[in-house]
Parts: sequence; structure tokens; C-alpha cells
Amino acid sequence: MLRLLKTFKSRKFAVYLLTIVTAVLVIGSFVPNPNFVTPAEAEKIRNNPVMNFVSKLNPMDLSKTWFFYGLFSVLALSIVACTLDRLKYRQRTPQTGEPVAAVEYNGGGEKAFLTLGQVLRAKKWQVNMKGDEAEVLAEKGRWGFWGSILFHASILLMVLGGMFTAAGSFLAGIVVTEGQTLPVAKESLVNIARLPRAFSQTGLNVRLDTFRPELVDGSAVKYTASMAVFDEKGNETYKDVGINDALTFKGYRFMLENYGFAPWFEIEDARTGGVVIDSYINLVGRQAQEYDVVSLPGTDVSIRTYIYPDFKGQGENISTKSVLPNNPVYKLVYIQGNRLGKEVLLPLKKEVQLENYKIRFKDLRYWTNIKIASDPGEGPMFAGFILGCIGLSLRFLDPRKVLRFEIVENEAGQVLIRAWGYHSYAPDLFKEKIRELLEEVTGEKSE
Amino acid sequence: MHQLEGIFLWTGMFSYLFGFAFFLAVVTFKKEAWQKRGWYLVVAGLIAQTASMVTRWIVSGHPPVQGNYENSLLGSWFLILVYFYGVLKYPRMKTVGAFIIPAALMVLGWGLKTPVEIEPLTPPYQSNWLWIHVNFAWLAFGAFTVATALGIVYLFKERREYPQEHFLTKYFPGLDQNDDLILGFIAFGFVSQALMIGSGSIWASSLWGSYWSWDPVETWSLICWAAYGLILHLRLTWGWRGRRLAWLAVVALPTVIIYFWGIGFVNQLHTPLFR
Repeated sequence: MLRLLKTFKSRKFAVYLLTIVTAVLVIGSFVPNPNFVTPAEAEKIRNNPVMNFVSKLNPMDLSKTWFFYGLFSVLALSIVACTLDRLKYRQRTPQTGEPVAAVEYNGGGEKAFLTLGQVLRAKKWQVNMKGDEAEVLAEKGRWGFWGSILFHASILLMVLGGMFTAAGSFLAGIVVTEGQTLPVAKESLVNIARLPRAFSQTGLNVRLDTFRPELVDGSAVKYTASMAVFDEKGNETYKDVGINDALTFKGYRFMLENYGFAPWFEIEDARTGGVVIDSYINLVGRQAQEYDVVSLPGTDVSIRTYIYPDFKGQGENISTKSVLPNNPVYKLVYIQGNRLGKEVLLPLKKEVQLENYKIRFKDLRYWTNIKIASDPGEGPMFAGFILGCIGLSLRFLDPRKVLRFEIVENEAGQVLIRAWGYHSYAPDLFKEKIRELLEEVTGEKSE
Repeated sequence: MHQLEGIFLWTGMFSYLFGFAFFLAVVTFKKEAWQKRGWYLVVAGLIAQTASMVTRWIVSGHPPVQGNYENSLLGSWFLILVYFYGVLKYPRMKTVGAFIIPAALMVLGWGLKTPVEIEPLTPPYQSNWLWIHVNFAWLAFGAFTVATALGIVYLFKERREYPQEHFLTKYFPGLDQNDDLILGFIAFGFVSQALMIGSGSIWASSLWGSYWSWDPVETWSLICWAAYGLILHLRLTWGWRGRRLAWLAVVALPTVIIYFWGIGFVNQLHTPLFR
């Protein structure tokens, strides 16, 4: 047990651990990551056993494994042990041996002693003047030591935050069309990143009233979703949610992630009079370069859709003036099996015949993908970050410095002041400061 | 790019170029007087580049933080600014500019090869966290790059004993001071990057719902930070100084380059989804 404790207290062990963690992250960042490739490439990776195994080393997937939890737990224990062990190194005295600087003082040992004390105090040093007037100790930077302790302790707080996140956070999306209300429950969720165990529903409902993008010179500058979130008791909160401006309700945060157009198509089989589709359909394409495919249920027919939100032109020369739906027109392409068929243009509130189907474009709304998050780990994580930054700032802005001066008077009455110094991370630059200090005391250049 | 912005930018770049030439002449032809001229040109370049950035800011209505060109503008500016601060504190660092200015010019040159048109600030960037996150990111970049330059200087100097009159002795910091300066800049970069990572996490939680997603940019920011943390531990705990520290400062720079410039080629979370 003692041996284990000694290992954890060892700075060498901590450095090896840090090296291993860094190496694991570096290797993981170079392996193919199925989360950031196209579906076809992800499929290719999964079908190759070696690639499939190697790809699991990516940090995103590795962070969910016991190996990762174990590694960070060991690192956390090492930090605790080293931090506690370091507490005994509060006191450092300057080295003995050759002094950093020495200077002759004209005026007697007592005057040297007093002048040195005055100069040091004026520079905000904590001075300890020994009664025999032969030695002066001065110190600065007590905060720096505690800053280091605080920083390392904050890492533990952040690791704790990470554990809370892994254990009980919620991160998923919900796709809502304007005018629609949906429960925040498992069946409504999409892009589920994290769910607490045995989760079924939150007891909350989301209602999207309107969604508005604002453009300047054709580029989007603002998105606003007027939405409400309410619980089963009727408690409601309403907000115009924007990017970087989330809605928070009962510990859940609602953010905008993505949006698209949701046309209301009524598709009727002209042969039978039966209505195949009569609803809002959430489509991904927002400009004519992107298309969606709407499959007609029970058939091998599908319709490729291209939107021109602000239609202009005619014949072959058609395009859109902007991405705002000021004059929306869909280009529809009939597909049966793999065969591309006829194509037609369908403006809003109009009807067209496409092969055997009558299609009415009744309305156009926006859908928005709202990301919902709740994370118990955020508190400790952010607290750790703030404390860590304070600790780091103290550590390096107020580094520990210690000075020791010896005042020696020989039989001829000549006084020599010798100086030693300790600086926690810049000892050589500190030597120059010591020399400058002595010059200030004596008014002469030091050796 | 606005015409006035372009004029200021090219004035700045040429000032840097001539400043570099003067520093090079100092070490090559031992023209001590040219060191001051080189420094004045660098300062003039910094002022001109600042004017270019301010012009772009006024015209675009937002700080230059979006797109490769604006990132290169800001990155090179912070690099020269950190070097400028270093010289104010330690005047013997002036000639280290011979290593730093080419890096700044390369960054600027690369940025100029990318589209320079002004675009409105996209919604994800419209946050007060942008100020903290971006400024500390570039401060870290500047500090780490200056540390690398000092490392290179150290490695040149310590090969053998140079006489007092040799340019390596005369125009560059002493070996021991150089060592302390490397550590100082690494420490500064480390603290800046900690603030960058932390502020980015808080921003990410309100933008994407998660303070950490292990996307490539986030992962490499952590790798870079951990690498420099390792260097600090090796120096402060194990006493690795001198040549070892200099080599570490040089070898760690690729993590900075990958993090700041390389990851942009990979599709990841930092690519705005809301277009």
C-alpha cells in the first residue's frame, strides 16, 4: 500500500501518465473517425474489421470506454497525491555557495542593514531582519505556491464534472415545424448523443410558433425561433430563441441547431382519387443545389424536390433571388425505380400533374432542429475552469521569490553586502533584478 | 477587401519585410546601428497592420475573426504583438525578430491566398465569449511561437563558446536568460490557452449543448495544452533546462501548427452548421 502511495506521489509517474494521455489523444486524432465522414465512408470503415477496431480509438468513442475512465481516474489520483505531497515544499531558502551578487557599502553595517530593509519594504517584499544585523531575509509570491495547488485541485473538480456528465447528462434534438407542439420524450428525439439510463420522457413539451432567418447581402446574420416550453402542470416559458441565446426551463436548455423548409404537399393518385400524402414534410434542402427525395408509401415511386425559395426566370434559366421564401417554387422530378422521369415546377398555392399524381403545394413553413441539453457536470466543470485559471494566474504572476542578504563588516570597517536568491521559474533573469536592487541600496554597480 | 485596408496591410507587410532584412544584416554584416532601424520598421509594420485590421473592422462591422484570411491577419498580429511585448521587457530580444517576422509573414501570406472578401458575422460567432476565446487563443499562439524562436536561438548559441564580440553573444539574450525567457513565454502561452479552452467550453455549452465534444479542434487544443504542460513539468519539477528545454520548445510547435492551421481542413463541429 505504501509502495502504491509512493508511486502516486511520484512526479515521474505523473509525467509518464500525462505523456500517455497525450499520446492516446494524438493517435486517436489520426485514426479514421466514423463520426466525421460521409455515411458511405463510415460503412466502409465498419465493414473492414481492422479499420473498424482502429477507428474506435478516436477520442469521441474512446471517451465512452472504461479504459478512458480508468486512465483519467489514475491521472486524477496522481494529481491528488502529488498536490498533497507538494504541500510540504512551502518553504524554500536560497541556495548557499557563491552569492549571486556582492557590493561594498559605504556607511557602516547598521546603516546597510536599515537601508536594505527600507528598499525591500518599498518594493513590497516581506522582510525578516535578524536581530544581529547580519542577515536579511525577504520573500514574495506566497500566492504563487497556493496558485499551483489550486490549479491542480481544480483539475480534480473538472474530472468530477466529467464523471457527472458521463453518468447523467442529456443531449438530443427534436425537430419541430412551425405551429407544431411535441413532447420531449424518447419517441420524438433525434440525434441522441447522451441519455440518462431508463430515460423515457422529461415531462416537457415544445411548441414552435415561428422561425425567422434574417439576411444581410444574402448571408444569414440572425435566426430567431419564437417558441414555448411547458410542463404537464401548465407552467410555461416563452422566448425568442437565437443562436447563442438559448431558452432554459427546469434545468433543460433549448438551442437552435439547424433549420429547413417544410412544404405542405397534398399528393393524390389521379387514377384512384386516393390521397397518398397530405401533410407537412420536413425537407433538408434549402437551395436549388440540394435536393430531397420524397417516397410515396406503398409504391416504387419517389419524387425528387428542389426548392427555389425566391424564384425567378423561366425555361432553362431558373434560379432564386435569395434564400428567403418570398416566392417559393419547387421543381419536382418523378422517379420510378431508378428511372428519372418528367419534371415540373410547382409554385406555392398551385397544383400540377406529375405522371399519375396530382400534387398541390398548399403551404410552406419552417422546421427547426432544437437541441436540448441538461448536464449536471457543467457546474463542477465550469467551477473547476474558473478556479484553475485563477490558480494558474497566481502561479505565474506571483511566483515564489526569496532573497537572503549577508552583511559582513571587516576589521577595517568596510561593509560588504552579499546576496543569494531563489526564483521558482526564472532564476537567471532574477539575478539581474538582485543586482539592480543592490545598486539601488548602494548607488553603485554590483559584481 | 477595402482599398484603404489593402494599403495599410501591404505597408505593414513591407515594413516587416524590411525590418527582417535589417535584422538579418545585423547578424550577417554586424551592422549594429541597423538593429534600431529594423526595430522601428517592425513597430511601423505593427501600426500599419493594426490600421488595416481596424479598417476592416469598421467596414465589416465585426472584429476580424471569421474565415482563414481574418484568422491569419489576427494570428500574425498577435505574434508580432507578443514579440513586441517581449522586446519592451527585454530589449536584447530585438534581433530574435529575425526568426519571428518570417513566421508572421508566412501566416499573412497564406491568409492572402484565401478569399479576402468581407462577410457578415455568422450567427454562431455572435457571442461575448468570442472576445475571450479568440484573443487568448491568438495570445497563446504568439507566445508559443516566440518561445520556439528563442529555442532556435538557444540551439545556435550553445553549440560552442562565442566571444563577447560575436553577434550571437552581442545581439541575442544570454544563454541563461534565454532559457528563462523560453519558460516565461511557454508559461504565458499555457495560461492563455487554458483561458481559451475554458472559455470555449462555456461558449460551446450554450451554443451546441455540450462543453466538450472531442471534435478534432477541441482534441488538438487539449493535446497542445497537455504538451506544453508536460514541458512545464519537465522544467519546473525535473529541472530540464538549456538544450533540452530549447529542443522541447521547438518540437512542440507542430502541435500549435496542427491545432491552429491544420485542423481547418477536417470537417468538424467548429464548421458552423447554421449556414
